[in-house]
Amino acid sequence: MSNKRRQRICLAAGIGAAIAVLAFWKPVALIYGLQAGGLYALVALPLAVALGIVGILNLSHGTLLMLGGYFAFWASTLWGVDPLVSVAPLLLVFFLIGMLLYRTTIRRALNATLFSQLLLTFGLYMVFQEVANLLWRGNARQLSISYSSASATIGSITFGTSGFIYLAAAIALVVGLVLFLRRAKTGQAAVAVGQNPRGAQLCGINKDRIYLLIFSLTVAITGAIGALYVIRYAIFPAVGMPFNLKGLCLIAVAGEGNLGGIVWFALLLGIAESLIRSFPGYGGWASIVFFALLIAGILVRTQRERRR
Amino acid sequence: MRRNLTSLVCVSVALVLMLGVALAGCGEPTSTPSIKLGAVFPLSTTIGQEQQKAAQLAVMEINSHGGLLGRNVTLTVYDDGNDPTVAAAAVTKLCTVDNVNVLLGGMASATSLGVAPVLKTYQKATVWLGGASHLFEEAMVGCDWFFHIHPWDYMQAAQQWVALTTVATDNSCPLQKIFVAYEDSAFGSTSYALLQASLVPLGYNVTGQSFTSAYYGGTGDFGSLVDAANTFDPDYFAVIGYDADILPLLGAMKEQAFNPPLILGAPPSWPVNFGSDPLSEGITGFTMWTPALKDISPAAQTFYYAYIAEYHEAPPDYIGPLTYDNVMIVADAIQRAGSLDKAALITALEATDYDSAVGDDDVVFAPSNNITHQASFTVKLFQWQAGVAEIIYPYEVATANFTYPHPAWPS
Repeated sequence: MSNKRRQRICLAAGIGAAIAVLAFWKPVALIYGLQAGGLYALVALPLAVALGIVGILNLSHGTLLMLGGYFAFWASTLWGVDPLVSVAPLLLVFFLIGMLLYRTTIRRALNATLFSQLLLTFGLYMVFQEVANLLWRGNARQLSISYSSASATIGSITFGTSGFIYLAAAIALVVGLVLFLRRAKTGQAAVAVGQNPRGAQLCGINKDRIYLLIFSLTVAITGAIGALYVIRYAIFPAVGMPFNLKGLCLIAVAGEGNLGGIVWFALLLGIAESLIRSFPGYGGWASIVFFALLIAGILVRTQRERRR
Repeated sequence: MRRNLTSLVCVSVALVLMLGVALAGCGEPTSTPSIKLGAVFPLSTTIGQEQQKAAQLAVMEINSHGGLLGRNVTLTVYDDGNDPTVAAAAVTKLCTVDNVNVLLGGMASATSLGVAPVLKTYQKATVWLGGASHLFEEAMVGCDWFFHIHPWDYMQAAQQWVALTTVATDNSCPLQKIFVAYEDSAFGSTSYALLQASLVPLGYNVTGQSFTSAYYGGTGDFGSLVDAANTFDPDYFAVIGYDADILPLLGAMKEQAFNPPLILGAPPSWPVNFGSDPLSEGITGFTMWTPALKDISPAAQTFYYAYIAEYHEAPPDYIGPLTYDNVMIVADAIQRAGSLDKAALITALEATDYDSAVGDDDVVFAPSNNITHQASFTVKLFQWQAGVAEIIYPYEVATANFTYPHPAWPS
């Protein structure tokens, strides 16, 4: 057995043991941590794909989630459309929005400096947020959906079950993305473009088309996640920023192309935050976990790269 | 030739513009300049827009009844941007460029604190609505031209505790074990610290858990917090957070079948259409006004229907009627003073006795801890019942009886 494999088995055994202890000690914290981690993973995955393949750090990502949320909110409020049903039309609508964004703005900044790209996507963030402010004001709005606070009881503990939508969607998304990138021809072409754009172009891959497709796909997924978000949470124009930060943190810790790693770290972050919040008087420390994970992840990765 | 033609056209245009300006000026009655009121509101927020609408409504009503002292009233409003420096610049402009007769308005404590030095520099007659922080009060010590509308933070806390204990005693509700879910910025943390400092010495068992509000980067995960509260098993569960936090928290409480006998929320404003959500049933809170007051107070009724007639929507919050009162109190004082002389205005304001749109009758100015002119508005305990925010206390303005304990969560 190779050293690397042994390390992985030890890590998996350690995580399994920690989860088992947690399941007995703080079962509710574990359950809600998994649900929150699922949401973090869900938000981080499209951001990671856009960064890994198109090479754009899309700071407007959180506001696209917010806009998707508003679409689903109004569809539900005005026409009684369940947010879960809104997912399919949102995928289509946001794919078109993604194409428009790519054609009008992103494509022009692909060869620009990172700073220019950040300024551009942050500008988009501000525009989307202010448009939402003008249209719907800054007040929080929340849907009243019968299954959003559905619960289940196991033994002596009662917990909410609708949050598992995020975990299930995150697993489905990561599996879908990995299969697409490994098995589908377009996915393989996208990976090739992400790794070496010039080389891929020499092999006859249309780089611009791949960028357009992948960027639009990430925007479509983000918009659809907005519909899932409003099932449990309130929506308002500034709702996206914390998810932008958490997504970026997870990508920094797991590594750009490591989609599976993003899901694991997202679950770790969710569980750690939830565990800290379960101790009265120490809830404030939960936000520090995010920074601790970011610093630890960057340090470990730096050490690894040095060894190589 | 071409140059001459261009010059001719330019001169003609200039003459036409000058003539237009001159003719426009002819329409203004030069003999009776209007009475100028100046205000700053956070216009980029829903609350600020409500303030502006309510203030304009008051001015329209005053002018439709012939104005004040035979003169029209104008209200100049600037956006304070929720920023102390922007607010200070706006008030400076009101005092120096617009040269208003009376200053009013304001909202957040931080912006009011930023404005305090400017107010002290120009010393205009001021009837300030905003800024509940006692720090702002301390900054205005010794300013006899300064009148304040909104109750100070310590006054609100005292009134809230009296309301709660009175209603609890009258309904035989125990209040010994208190759990507070508070957001971790200055608003929530300070309120929790004050609550603990005042109640623990009296023998109350108070504990709490902080959370990051969705407005400050929180992601709305309340599962663990509710689990901790459930373990504590409180008589009274209080939430000090923002509107974005209320429904996700109540949802988590329902999920875990955590149903304490008394649930009280204290957001600065409630979520849009909160009453229509089944989770709102039986939730109590504090406010200065709810639409239900229109059924028992003539002044509240007049304001409520006038606002709807003008803007085709109900005022969403207490800040609307309170801003309306702010303008009306100034107008009432100017009318009684008979002039815009500062000393006469101060004397008239000191004699204020006003039936307000927030349902309080006989509002007067009296000394508070640090200033001499604090309005006697009261905080009210209310409870969401069948989608309506019903007033429970003070009993004189109650619109419904208190429902206790909190009903079972809707299935």
